[in-house]
Amino acid sequence: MRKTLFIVEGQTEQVFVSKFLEHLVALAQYSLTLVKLHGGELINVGQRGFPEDVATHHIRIVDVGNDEKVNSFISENVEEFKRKGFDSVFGLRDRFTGSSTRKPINPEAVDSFAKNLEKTFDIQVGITIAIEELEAWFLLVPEFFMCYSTALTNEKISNVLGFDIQDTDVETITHPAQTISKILKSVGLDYKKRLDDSYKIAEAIDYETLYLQKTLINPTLKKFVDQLESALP
Amino acid sequence: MKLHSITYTEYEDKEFAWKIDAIDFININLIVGKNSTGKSRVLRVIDGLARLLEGVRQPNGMVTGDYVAVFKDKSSELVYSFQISDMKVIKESLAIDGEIKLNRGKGGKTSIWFEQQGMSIDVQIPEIHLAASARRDADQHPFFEPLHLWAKTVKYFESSKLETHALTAFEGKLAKDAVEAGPLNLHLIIKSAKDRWGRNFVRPVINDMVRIGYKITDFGLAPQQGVNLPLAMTNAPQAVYLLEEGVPKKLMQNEISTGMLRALATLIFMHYIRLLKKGGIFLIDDVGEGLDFDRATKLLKILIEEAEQGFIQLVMTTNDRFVMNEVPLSYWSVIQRTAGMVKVFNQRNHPNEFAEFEEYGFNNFDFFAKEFYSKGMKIDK
Repeated sequence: MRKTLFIVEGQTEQVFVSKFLEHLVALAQYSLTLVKLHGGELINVGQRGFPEDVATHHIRIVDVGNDEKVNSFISENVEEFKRKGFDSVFGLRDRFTGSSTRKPINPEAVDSFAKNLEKTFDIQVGITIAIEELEAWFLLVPEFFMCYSTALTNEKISNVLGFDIQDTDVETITHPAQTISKILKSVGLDYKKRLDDSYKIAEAIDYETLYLQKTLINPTLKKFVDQLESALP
Repeated sequence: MKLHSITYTEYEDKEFAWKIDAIDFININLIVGKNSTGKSRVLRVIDGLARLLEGVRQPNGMVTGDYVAVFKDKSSELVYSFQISDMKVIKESLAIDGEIKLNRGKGGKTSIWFEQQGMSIDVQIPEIHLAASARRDADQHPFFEPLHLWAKTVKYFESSKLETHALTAFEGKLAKDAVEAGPLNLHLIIKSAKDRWGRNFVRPVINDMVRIGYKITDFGLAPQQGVNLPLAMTNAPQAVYLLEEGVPKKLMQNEISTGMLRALATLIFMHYIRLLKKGGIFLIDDVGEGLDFDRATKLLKILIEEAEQGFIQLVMTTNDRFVMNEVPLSYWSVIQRTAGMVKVFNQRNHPNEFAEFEEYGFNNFDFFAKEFYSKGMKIDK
């Protein structure tokens, strides 16, 4: 059985990755476990797909709680992952550190760290740095706003933002989560990154467009999808 | 005037020598290091300097000790140094902006600047005393005054040594100056601060306790029940109590969890120092120890917020992962000991290692645990 591990920084990322995978591996016999790191303990928070004993591919997505923990968790536990039979480990974190004093993450430095782990521990390691936040990828398919309100047409969104989101490179948006919040506030709603927000958006995302079209124009999304494809059946 | 750096050596040339070379301090400092590298010792060195200047401690109580302390304010720099060997002061000097005010050698022979005469005069000072302490005279030697003012504000809290069973019997009125000048004593400070500032002291402590997750509604001192009093003692010994929301009983000191009591004491001392309005340096050994992740990080946030306002210079030590992850690397000084030599790594003296590490997006703790501070990232690119 092939085993793949995803280490993500929060519940939004966990929900997004699990939904993306469900679309990507829809035909495969997979089991998917959602795990949360809390107070040093790993707690199972969800199970999808086939039972583990009949699945041909096991995927585990661990929400470690914050950005800085993604790389540290991989670095600290990579040997253990290998010992437990995982073939691939993928990290997903924001480039935005939340600190104005901290230097931004350098994707090249993170790649070199991942390559070093691969070489040392003989396990596939890939870390994707979403620019600036994962929510930038949501903005690639802004039709999801319709699940909040049918008033949030492309025209309305352009009026709120002052630019056309469809013609904008989302990687130039400094705080994509705040941008989503701004759009929702225009119809009296808000984006608070709560679990129900994450599920609502993740359910409404057009993964096919994201996968087939948007990977052509968004390099970080392409990197993430390439890594998935290299590990999945 | 703030402490800028200290170099300290003891038992030089002996196999158990210990030397820390020019550890520098900014407004907020977190000293990080493995066990027995000397984190707590750095705090004791600072506190020891203050007590020697105050005269509470005497050179004849020290076998050896070689201090070079640099103090700075916006416009000037004061360098004060002395060396104690075999319980005698064998060297002492003080310079302000390079101008020598005190120069002392072996045998107590001292050249010291006299303000009223406008010249340096040779005097003899007993070898068992520091000139800075023995010759304090605000008119003739005003250059000693900043040192004494600084020494008075050095407050040292060893959180792991806070006693849960400590009691204090108060006899007569408490002299606020004595409390101010003395070491941090939880009971004396609660009594003194409540008398002086009342709700202005109690309220912020309660608010901060609530912020870190302890829902207390009041605290203070109360007689400890069940203690046998010596016949001569008229007043019942007192201990800390606190009231928790929804609990209709005073929780006495010996019933309070260690972590909660340490957090309470830390906040009491912090607000006491703040309300004194005399600036100062707050030394906290093992900050956040005994607290869970959530509370440790919140306590650190509060301490840093307070120190960022500039009223307190904060020097803390830790071995705790939660604390390390909460405190920005720019406030860190990692110390590493090889035999008796202690090396300091911080953003000022190793800017590249610190800057490079941040690019990799790890937890701060990894910077320490994987020794990136000294090795650099050493990853093939």
